[in-house]
Amino acid sequence: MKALCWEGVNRLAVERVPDPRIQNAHDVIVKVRYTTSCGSDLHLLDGYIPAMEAGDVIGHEFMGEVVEVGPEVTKHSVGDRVVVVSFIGCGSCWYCDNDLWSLCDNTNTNPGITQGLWGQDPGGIFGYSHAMGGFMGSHAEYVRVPFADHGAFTVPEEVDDLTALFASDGLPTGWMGAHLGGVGPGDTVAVWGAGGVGQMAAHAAMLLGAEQVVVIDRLPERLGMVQQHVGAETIDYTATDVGAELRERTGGRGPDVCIEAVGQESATNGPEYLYDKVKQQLRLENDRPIAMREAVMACRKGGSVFALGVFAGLVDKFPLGALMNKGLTLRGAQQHGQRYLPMLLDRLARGEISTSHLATHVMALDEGPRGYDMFKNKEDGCVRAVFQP
Amino acid sequence: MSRAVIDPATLAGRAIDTVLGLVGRTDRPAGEDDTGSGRWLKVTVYRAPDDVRTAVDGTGPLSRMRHEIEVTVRPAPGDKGTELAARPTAPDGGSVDLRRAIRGALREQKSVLECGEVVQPSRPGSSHPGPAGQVLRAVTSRAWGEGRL
Repeated sequence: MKALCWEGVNRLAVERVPDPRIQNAHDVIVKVRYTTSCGSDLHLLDGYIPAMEAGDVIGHEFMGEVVEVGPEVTKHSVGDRVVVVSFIGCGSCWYCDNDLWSLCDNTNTNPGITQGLWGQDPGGIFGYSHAMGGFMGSHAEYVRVPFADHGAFTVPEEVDDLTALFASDGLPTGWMGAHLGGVGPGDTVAVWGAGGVGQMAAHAAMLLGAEQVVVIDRLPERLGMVQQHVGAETIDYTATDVGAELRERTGGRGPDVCIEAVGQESATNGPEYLYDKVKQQLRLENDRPIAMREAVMACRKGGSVFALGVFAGLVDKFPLGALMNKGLTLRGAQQHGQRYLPMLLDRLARGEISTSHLATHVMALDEGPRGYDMFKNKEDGCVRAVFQP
Repeated sequence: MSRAVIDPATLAGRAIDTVLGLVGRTDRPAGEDDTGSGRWLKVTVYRAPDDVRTAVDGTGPLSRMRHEIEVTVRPAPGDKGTELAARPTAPDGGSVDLRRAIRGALREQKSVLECGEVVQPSRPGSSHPGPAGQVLRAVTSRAWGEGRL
């Protein structure tokens, strides 16, 4: 089959690779209809997630049709139209049973790597390095889905394919940031990053009852999307002092909940960017935590900061003093999509949330390398490059 | 003079072991050589103690090394299931390879008990992993039997 493969830092290629097959009794094989680029893929592309082999199939956010079913699968049949959560959960361990699905104990096939990095191993994920399980990704004609009874969800008839696509990752990730960040009625929420995940986090905050939601980014087309499709306020960080702006917009208090939806390649206009970029290039720090620092500093006393963007390792100049002295709660997670998908698919079916506007560029899988170029360089207003195998 | 052909993955594996040895990363407890006893290797299984005990006494992965190890089973606090522990019976705490095998067997037993199988990474892997990929394969070949449980 055809697949989009990682070939090295900033090198992708469409190649012929072996078709996936049922390897475990709880697997299904899905024929991919849509699969999308995600901001976290850029960390693979840029070489900040080193556990990749040339020839690995990338992609983790997808939907399609079940074409083969393992002998122990009970909830799916051939022909089901499904959206698949990007993190793989076994459904049987303590973490899955406690709705912490991305922390599954049984789906990372190489646990020693992330245990060395982080002390414990989270669950596996499609197309996201051998440190995260070594599962081939979704930018392909077919993909193997382990533990499909738990990770694949039948798409309601009312939800079209492109809308369902973002229920795989962007939507549940954003929802989780708002939910586990503690957003409640009357809250003021600030979201750093107006990409797919940031937009979904902002929308989730509004649906969870926030009275004021502010999204921070620099790209006018993304900020325009936030205003049009989410209905939140925006701040262009290139035009103002974000901390001062947030203070004044919140009566001097600061946001109750701050959601960082940028991750390890955060940017800013100031010298801070140069400092972090140099340190990152010299491997003196893994991640540029610029937006995270800003979130911690901006958050109101006693507020909550949620790390939703992907970070991989160590950061420098983290304002721990602010965290401690302001009494903040800091939390983070990869998405626990299985927890939210039934509710989110109902909301999508009722039209309460829109997602398909994120698919600004839909193209054939053959155009994958070009799509990632556009996505990475934010060309032509690209929010997500979506591929049809 | 004969020339030995060395597989890059094997070479990388030796390098990894050397580096871990140099930086003191080992799964042996401090003072083990003095006490002569190995640290228990443990995993928490989200199942009842009787289920775990039955599996361990049967034909589970730990049974393959039953003559080299001792095993204990006890309830985990907070309704988190059962703590399954194993360690070599050898006075010197057993070889690194044995302890690695015990870790792997504990993981396998946990996975089989909790979800009925051990999930496999995608096979076949890349047909052209390159030199860096070969090094990575050396790491991943050990990753199941290393680290915490």
